[in-house]
Amino acid sequence: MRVILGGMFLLLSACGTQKAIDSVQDMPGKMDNMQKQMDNMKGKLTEALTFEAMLKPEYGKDLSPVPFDLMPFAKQFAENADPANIPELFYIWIKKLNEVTIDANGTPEPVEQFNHRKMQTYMALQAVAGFLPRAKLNQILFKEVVHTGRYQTAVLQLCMLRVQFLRDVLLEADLFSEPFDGVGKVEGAVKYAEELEHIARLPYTEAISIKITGFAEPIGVIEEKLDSSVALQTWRKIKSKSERALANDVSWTGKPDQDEKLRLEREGRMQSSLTLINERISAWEKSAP
Amino acid sequence: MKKWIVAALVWPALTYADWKMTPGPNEIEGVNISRGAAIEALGKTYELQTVGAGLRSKKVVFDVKVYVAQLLMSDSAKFVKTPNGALKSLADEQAAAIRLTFVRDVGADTVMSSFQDAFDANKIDQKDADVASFLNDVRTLGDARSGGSIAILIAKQPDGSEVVALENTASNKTTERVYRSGVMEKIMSIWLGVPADSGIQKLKDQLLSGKL
Repeated sequence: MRVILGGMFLLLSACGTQKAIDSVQDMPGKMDNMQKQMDNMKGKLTEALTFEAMLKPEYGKDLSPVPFDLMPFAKQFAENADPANIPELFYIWIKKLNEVTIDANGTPEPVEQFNHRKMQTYMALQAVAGFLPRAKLNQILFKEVVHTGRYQTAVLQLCMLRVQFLRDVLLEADLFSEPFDGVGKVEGAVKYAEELEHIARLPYTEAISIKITGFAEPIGVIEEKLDSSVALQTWRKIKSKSERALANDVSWTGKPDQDEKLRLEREGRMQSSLTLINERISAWEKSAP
Repeated sequence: MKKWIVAALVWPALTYADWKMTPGPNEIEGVNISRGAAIEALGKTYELQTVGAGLRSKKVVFDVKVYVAQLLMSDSAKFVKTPNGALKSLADEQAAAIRLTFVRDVGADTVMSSFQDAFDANKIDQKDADVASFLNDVRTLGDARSGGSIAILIAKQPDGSEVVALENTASNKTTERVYRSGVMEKIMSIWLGVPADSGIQKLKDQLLSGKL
């Protein structure tokens, strides 16, 4: 009997020991998982905090024509965000824009204040959509649009917001508002136009639109369906402004030979940009019905 | 041809264009819409009637208000208030003017850039000496300030030339320059020609609506 009990004790101990050993051996994996969960949570919290940060009143004082104060946040957020979390974030905030009413807290808010708060949210979403790196956008489009994800509609709205931000803020209100006085501005405009081109060339452009009904009058409804011709119009405008680009004869080095090298370099860059612009225009004109 | 180029280049700003507006009963964005104006330029007084007024806004998500425009003509009866007829009817006007009262600050480069976009939309060659000279004068006038006005008077002369008097009330700068015949239509195409954007389209509709 004692032998049996002793044997059972040893067996149980061994099992327990083995479990303990197994548990210790599993520890790195478990800690990895825990770390990943913590990172994920921290990432979500960070993302939530960063997006929320853009909505603080001090970052919404100046929204037009360029939302200067929230743009740096939006850029950082977009560049660091996990693409897996973006669709849900857009879904939630667009839903909130549409459904939160002026008296949601019991007492009606002043109309101007209500609309301004919502406009800040709208422009923050626009800015994030606009600054999202192409690779992240493509991941999101592949998963949610092409593979009909849970947030397909929100991502199609994201595309429209992206177009609006590129077209109205980065190009029209910023770069196009002044003459092009250097090749850098031409290259900047080309960079934004390439992103517009990317959206305008998607095979499902007819599904890209946005409708926000939650503003009070006089703003009312904000609604837009994507018109692919935005790409061609933008390329033509860039070409026109580039051809009028002001000559910049400032000596940036104080040394004639180096200035000459820089001038030739600038000419080369301008030529490259103009070649690309002309190629894009030709491609659109050839495909026009 | 050489005579006009020389004239355009050397004509000095000898006198200041002086606008005496006759107030009207209505306002747009706090700017009184005149019934007309007596404008002194180059030693002569031009009596013009206000034929249209409107608000120029620019769409950036929502509409951003830029300026209140008042359009004036020397012969209001001959001015055709249709989208296709307005610009052509300037052939029958001795003088035309537009006064832009800004409701926000706008940099000189931005004002010039918006005029350039309008010239592009109307396929007006910006290498043309008159157009280039006008754009340069606009830039030289300086920034537009909220509450200030940029005013443009174009008056045809007996010898066929056209004088353009520009004024920026914010910077207190003016220019007066002699141009070849045809510059009135080119400049006024900014507002009465092919609209450069939806905001100018809305403004054009308002200017031609006849509502003051």
